[in-house]
Amino acid sequence: MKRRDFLKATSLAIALGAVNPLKVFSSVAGKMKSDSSFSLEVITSNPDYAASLLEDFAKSGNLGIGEMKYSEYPVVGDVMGDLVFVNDNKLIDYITASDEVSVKLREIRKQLRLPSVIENPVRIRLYKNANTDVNNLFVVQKGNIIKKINPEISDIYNFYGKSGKLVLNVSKGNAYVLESECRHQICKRTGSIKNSGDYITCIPNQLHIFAE
Amino acid sequence: MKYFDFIKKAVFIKLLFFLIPFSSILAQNDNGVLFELSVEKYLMGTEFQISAFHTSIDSCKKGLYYAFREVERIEQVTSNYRDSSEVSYVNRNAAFEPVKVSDELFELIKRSIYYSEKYQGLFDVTVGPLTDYWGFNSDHPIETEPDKKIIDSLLQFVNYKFIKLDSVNKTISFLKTGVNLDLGGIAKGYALDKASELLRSKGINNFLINGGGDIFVSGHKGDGSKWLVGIKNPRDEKKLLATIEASGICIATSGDYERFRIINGKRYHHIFNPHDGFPAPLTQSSSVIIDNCEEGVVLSKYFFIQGIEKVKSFKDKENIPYFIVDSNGKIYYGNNITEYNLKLFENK
Repeated sequence: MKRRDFLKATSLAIALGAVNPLKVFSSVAGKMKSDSSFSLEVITSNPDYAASLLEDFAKSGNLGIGEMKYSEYPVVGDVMGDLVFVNDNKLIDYITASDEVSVKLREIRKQLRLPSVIENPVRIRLYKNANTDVNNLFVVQKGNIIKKINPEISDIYNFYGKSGKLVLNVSKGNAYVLESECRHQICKRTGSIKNSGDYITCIPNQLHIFAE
Repeated sequence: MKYFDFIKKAVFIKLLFFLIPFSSILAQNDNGVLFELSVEKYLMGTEFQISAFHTSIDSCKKGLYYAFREVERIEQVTSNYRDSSEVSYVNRNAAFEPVKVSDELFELIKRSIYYSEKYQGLFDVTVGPLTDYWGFNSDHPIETEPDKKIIDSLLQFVNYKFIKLDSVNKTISFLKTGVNLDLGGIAKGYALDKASELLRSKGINNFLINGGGDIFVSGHKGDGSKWLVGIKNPRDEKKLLATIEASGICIATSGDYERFRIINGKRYHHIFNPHDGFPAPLTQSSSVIIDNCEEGVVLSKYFFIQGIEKVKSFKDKENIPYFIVDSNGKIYYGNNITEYNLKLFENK
């Protein structure tokens, strides 16, 4: 097991670069309040360096104080790497804004040589009090995100693991396992997931489906 | 002591109780920022999850990485589903000649025998032939009514007294061919303890580690509060029957809902009685609170098999907080569990 590959987490998050539901662009006026919600997401080829930059950024007081959650997932495929910042459910246009936080985020983006297309990058995310609306479903297998699903588009998806096929039904923001050939059937018994942070795990197939 | 002095002292003690753990968190909290990392991984036939708080993302990631690597290492020693494991090697050879094993495996099996004796043989690592028959740990669990004749024939190989240990040469031998070790009933608890030790050795003191429902909590959450651990409703896993608040302790649970098959309307699950070879019928779930996970996973199974009436007369019950749901869904718990701020929920 490579150290970089092992880290994965269930978490609240905005999507892989695309932040469809957030139409409002805004800037941050000064430093954030302690009770602000935020999500700072980076798709990068250098997660250790990116994490250290985000940590320094957080410890400088730019994101308020208190507990912050950190998650990290490898992503399969060629993905546009970039930095996305959402504050109090508003997508922040840190590229053009002149406030202190935006200037620092631009510097981090530059240090990480973003944006750029990255083969099999790592998605890291630092967040706090993030919103509970579900924007995406992520399917993770053996530690890698293998599929991103819009929960509002009804469809049926088939995934295959060591124990056979798992059929995922997605409809009107809900997702549940319709059928699974695994021995435990815990994934099927989990029922429907519809809130951010909900997840379904199929242990025999090593499939993990979470809502963000 | 005057009443007023007593009150002052009581308040002071109470303040100390709350302030000490909270200040220990704050001391770690660089510039008021604390990071929470949560990682899960499929290991030992179940899902392991660790959530930890730390002031450094990198230090926390490294600590979690080494903790998971430790669990992987223990799986490689103890799994009887991996041909390359040390236990598999023992199973293939110990009936024919003494097999020299690592100190770690030798001591683990020695402790297993100790638990077998302590718990009247209701914990027994020689249940391998039975677990193979029921198949709940494999890709092919039983699909038809169990055959009592087959089970009775397998019971002749199930007895921890068939294991012979040589403490001088660190060898294991079986006194009978057909004996097959299955450390599944103890290895996960051992792995949880070792992973917890490792996290602490890396400076990570505030964490929760969950191995398939058996949990060890250390330190506190980021806000200084104790960890909140839920006890599932065994007939509706999305609902909780209760929560407890805990720190520096293991909460081990055995439930008939984890792995089971309903065959002709009857539930057959993976916690069986080594004496008769059949799933224990008296309990739906059994949780115990104890200082180490290794004995915790053994004891929760023992309580599960024994059923609440015998648990009530268990000699150490005053020292072991328990929470048991019997086969009818009725809840029982020891009074001492209320020390953990037990909260019960309506489940209708």
